[in-house]
Amino acid sequence: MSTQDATAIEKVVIDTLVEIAPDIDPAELEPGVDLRQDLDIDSMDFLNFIIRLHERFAIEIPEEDYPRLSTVDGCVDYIRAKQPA
Amino acid sequence: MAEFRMPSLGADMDAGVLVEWLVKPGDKVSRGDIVAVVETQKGAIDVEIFDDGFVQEIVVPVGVEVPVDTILAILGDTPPAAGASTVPAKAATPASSEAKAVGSSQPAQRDTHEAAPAPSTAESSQTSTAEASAGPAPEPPPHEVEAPAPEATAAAPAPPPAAAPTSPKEQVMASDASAAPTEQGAPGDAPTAPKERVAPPTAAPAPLSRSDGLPLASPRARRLAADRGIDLATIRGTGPHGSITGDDVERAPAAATTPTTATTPKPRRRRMSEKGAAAMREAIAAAMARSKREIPHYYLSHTVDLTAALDWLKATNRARPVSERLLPAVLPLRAIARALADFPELNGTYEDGRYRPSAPVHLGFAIALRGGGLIAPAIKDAAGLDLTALMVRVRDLVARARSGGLRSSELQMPTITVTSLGDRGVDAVTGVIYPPQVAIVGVGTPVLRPWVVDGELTIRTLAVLTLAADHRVSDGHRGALFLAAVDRLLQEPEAL
Repeated sequence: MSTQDATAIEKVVIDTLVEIAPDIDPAELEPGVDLRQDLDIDSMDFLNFIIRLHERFAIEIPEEDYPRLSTVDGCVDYIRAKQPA
Repeated sequence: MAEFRMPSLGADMDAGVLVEWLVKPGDKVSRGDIVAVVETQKGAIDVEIFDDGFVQEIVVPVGVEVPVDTILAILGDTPPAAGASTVPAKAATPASSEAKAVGSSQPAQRDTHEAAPAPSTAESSQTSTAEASAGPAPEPPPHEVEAPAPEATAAAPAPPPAAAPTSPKEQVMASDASAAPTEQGAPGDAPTAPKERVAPPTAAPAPLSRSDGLPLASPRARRLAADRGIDLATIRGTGPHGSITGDDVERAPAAATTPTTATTPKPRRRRMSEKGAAAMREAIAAAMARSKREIPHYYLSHTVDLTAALDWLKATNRARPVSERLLPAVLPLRAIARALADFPELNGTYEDGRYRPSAPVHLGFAIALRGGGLIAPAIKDAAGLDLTALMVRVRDLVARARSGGLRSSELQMPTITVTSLGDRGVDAVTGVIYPPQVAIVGVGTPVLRPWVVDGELTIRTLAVLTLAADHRVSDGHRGALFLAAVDRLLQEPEAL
């Protein structure tokens, strides 16, 4: 997974999000939209989302980093930064 | 001999539609196996069996709506004799004279009931006329209307092993920390078509549409389709009402796969259809109206200082892998489950003028569904689970409540309900008891507030704990002691 580019990461992030909240339409998903506030992702959904990202990208995501994962763009940046070059 | 009957999945359920059999005559079943899928006002539910034995007869074929308590299948201690048929006439009398004549016993139900298990074309279309929606031109009625059972059973896959998870999603949740990463194409993202694509392949049964507007397909079919990256919309269902069975998916992989792999799969849309939302609203209305009509509620509230508990949570989460991390909601759940041991008058059911306390605590956890509605499945034997195990169960339950795969026992079981307002809610909830339970505990959103501790004004994180309980069974004094006991447990989180 180390060489994944932003687009590939974004796709996995969005797919994961849609698993958690199947009513979200990726086509209408603004990259900067706040997942919790704007998409009504509650804390339980968000934890399930984080767990799946952790599994899929094999990265550790400490709790204090959660705010950095509040948007799709934020997730992509975070995952890229966390992955070995 | 044992009878497997249409379960009641709540005080508000009158009838259900048998969507899929997962067993056939001759199959060995064990208590807890999921043997059938039933469509209810609460969506498609996996129904478990409560006896061991061999399936002798399938009494009710797929596609038929029957009242609660109708015999669906007969079990025996030994495999059935060769040539034993399904659907014998004698079994066609469901024991349902008492089957909940609550207002909604439409003629359709009665017809189905009398005609079961082999409804005529006319009757079965009558059964679901209300649900009928325009679809592609129907094909001529198949012969299976005459003899539905063999068809139904022929399509039935082998029974799942007792411990088989019901969905890939659940598998992920259940295996938790050790879970292999789910493949990208796996659980929830089976691409599906808009609901108008649900094609009824037969004229007989009117098409059912799922409450969420997805194509009608069995959980097994969804699982297989997801595993193979098949778009369910490309498969023509041969099940009742045009539903897609597991066998349909198995039969049609090659042809169906091509178009999906070529294009970007459409995301699965799960917003509840208007009809599904209306059905669920009706179910909630029935249960809540009954509650307010029958149960003399009393209400208590108590502000709890959660500072110690949340500080502990933060520290403990730092040392935990993400899959074992705890959410604040799980602390009150654990405290409530433990405190109930000393308050049997809050944990049980009140039916037919009599209260039956429950030894185990099957904690109903109220889950708001995206797009509206609410469901409160049980965390089985919650008092026996530590924080980590409880958290895993809650996560699993929430995921399944929101994307399918709840089990019948989880809906039948709760002995008390907890409604947690989460981190973005409001201060307090005054609950309405879900009959036949006798109590509901509310946990408000934790907030920073000024608070006096040891004579000093300080800033603490507080939450309002509430209790609505049945005055026929308990009094406010006991209720107050219960909330105080929960508070006490929350002050020592490391001992939870």
